[in-house]
Amino acid sequence: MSKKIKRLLGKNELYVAIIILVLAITIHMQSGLFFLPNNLVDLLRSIIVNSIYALCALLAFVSTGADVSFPMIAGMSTYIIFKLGETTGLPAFVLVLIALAIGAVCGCINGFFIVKFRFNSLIVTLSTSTICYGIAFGALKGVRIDVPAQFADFANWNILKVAKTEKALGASLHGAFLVMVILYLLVYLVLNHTMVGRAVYAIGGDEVSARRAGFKVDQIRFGIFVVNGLLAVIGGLCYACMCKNCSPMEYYGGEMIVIAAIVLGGVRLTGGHGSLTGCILGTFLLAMVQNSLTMVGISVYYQNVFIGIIIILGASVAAIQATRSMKIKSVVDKEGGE
Amino acid sequence: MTAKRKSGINSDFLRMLIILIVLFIVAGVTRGSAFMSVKNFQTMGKQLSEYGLLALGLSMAMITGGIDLSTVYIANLCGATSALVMQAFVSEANPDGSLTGILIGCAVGLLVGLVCGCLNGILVSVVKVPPMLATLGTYELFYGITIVLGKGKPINAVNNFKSFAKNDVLFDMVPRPFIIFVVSAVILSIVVGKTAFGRRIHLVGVNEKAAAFAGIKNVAVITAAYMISGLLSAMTGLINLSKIASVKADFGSSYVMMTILIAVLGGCDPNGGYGEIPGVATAVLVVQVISAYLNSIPQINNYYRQALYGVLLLGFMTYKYFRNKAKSSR
Repeated sequence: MSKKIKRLLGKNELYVAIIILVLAITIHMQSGLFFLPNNLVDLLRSIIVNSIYALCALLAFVSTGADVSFPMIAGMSTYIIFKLGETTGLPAFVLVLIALAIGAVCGCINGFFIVKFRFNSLIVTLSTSTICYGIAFGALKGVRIDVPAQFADFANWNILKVAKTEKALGASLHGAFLVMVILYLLVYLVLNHTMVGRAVYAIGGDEVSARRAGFKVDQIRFGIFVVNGLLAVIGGLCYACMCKNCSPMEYYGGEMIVIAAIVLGGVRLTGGHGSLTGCILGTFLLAMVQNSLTMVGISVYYQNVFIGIIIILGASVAAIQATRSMKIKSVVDKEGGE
Repeated sequence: MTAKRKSGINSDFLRMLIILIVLFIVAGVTRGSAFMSVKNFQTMGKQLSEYGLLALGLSMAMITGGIDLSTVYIANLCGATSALVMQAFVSEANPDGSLTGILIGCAVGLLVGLVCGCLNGILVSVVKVPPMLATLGTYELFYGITIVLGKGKPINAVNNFKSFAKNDVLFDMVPRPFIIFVVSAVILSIVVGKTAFGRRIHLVGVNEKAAAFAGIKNVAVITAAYMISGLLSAMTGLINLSKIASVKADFGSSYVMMTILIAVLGGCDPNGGYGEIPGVATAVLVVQVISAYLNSIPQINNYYRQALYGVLLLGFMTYKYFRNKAKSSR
């Protein structure tokens, strides 16, 4: 019993959940607008895309290191298929397959350089990101285009609607929410119930040990970046369909907030640690800060300051915890040696 | 590596120098007088100061085994605070800003840069936050503060300060920002290449634990490296303020990628321990020449430059990988 509580207390997720609750109650007491159906639905809607991206960031950080290419991969591939859809009129599933293929190719490029040459993943993904940026804006002009007719059904698909009341505006939950839920279930099953999932954590924790234990480190790492490319494309498509248009510029720079979110959720940048619950909670907390600060009368200009402070504090707490646990470990080692 | 250092010239610097000369010849032959004009060189000299000093700062962080993603936003924050201080000194007698106001403004800006760098350094060395994450957090913070300072709008420079970057000195030919860049690069080269401090930041980058056992105060060394980066960023902020006449919170966000490219081209190892300033400074020139060359060809869209930088970075790292491999198997 006490062991269980201790384990729970040591988890970042718990603290994030507490912060979310406290913040939510404060905002509601101040404004009376937080626990309204429309606000909650809006919040759920606003975490869809970022929590899909968070999967990319989680997989990359747990196994290898930073991946900052997912927003531009998403932006470029979505833009390409929207353009193709407009000009050629290909059916939607073919277009989605094309987008996934583009994402997979980008992921292969990332994986190739990271696995084969052992380059720093931040630098590699930064390069692919700028290459995608150059292609999206240079070769393809990168203007805002509307969602093509093939995707109209998906773009208009809402699974939940909150009617407008006198106190609050209406809100609707987009069908992409289901996509996100399915992706999380899939990743959950793979990470927690398969050998591959165990390998993802193992190679991030200690690569040499993982190799000796018989995991195919290189193949798995390569696979992770290909999967990241695919996830990025799905996230990007959802985003464009929710906005009913696509402008690659809107994707640019989206990685920072996602990385911040997963770090808050307890993912360690040094590898081997991180959970899906943490991903969702971190994303939710940041979405809350972005959406709800204005409700308590804090100017929208302060948004970035708050996000910055949250990242710094969250990262510092995690770092201090990590050093402390390492110190305890080394004390135990010493005692064991004597 | 020690042998290389003794010879005084390192191979990264030499390689960049050769590439630079080749680029000049190619540009001169294919674009002729459009490229080889005094005006073009002056523009290049002014332009490279927008990111050259940032790249030098980033390389300091990279040598210690870290990275500094916040440089661009430190620059903007410092520009914004300086501009506000200078505006505060505007009176009826001096509608274009007084000299004391400008001097105090510059001092405050540089101080803010040092404080920002110090914050980065403490987060990395004392709290032990991974450098990428620490500077990502401060990047967001500095960006946010700049927005708050300007209330979401650009902040204007006082008129008297605008002329600083515009006036050319040295036979009315060489722009001031370029001189600042060269002087900073030379000073930093000496600091990093010839002093005990320079040797220490390399050692910390190679192996932090070993450095600590060798009696090096890691916290002080790393913090100092990030503070230098902050100071250089602040100088960039002041130059930009004078040149562009206003500060925007999101100015130069694409320079983050560019500075990393320059640092790696210049011979810095992203994993730390390697890198010399002359190489980085020459890499700044190389990137500026490429950029100006592409600019002089109207058919090439500006955005292709970004794609090219990405390809260049990957290509160059691959080249280095194979060269190191060939060297170690010999």
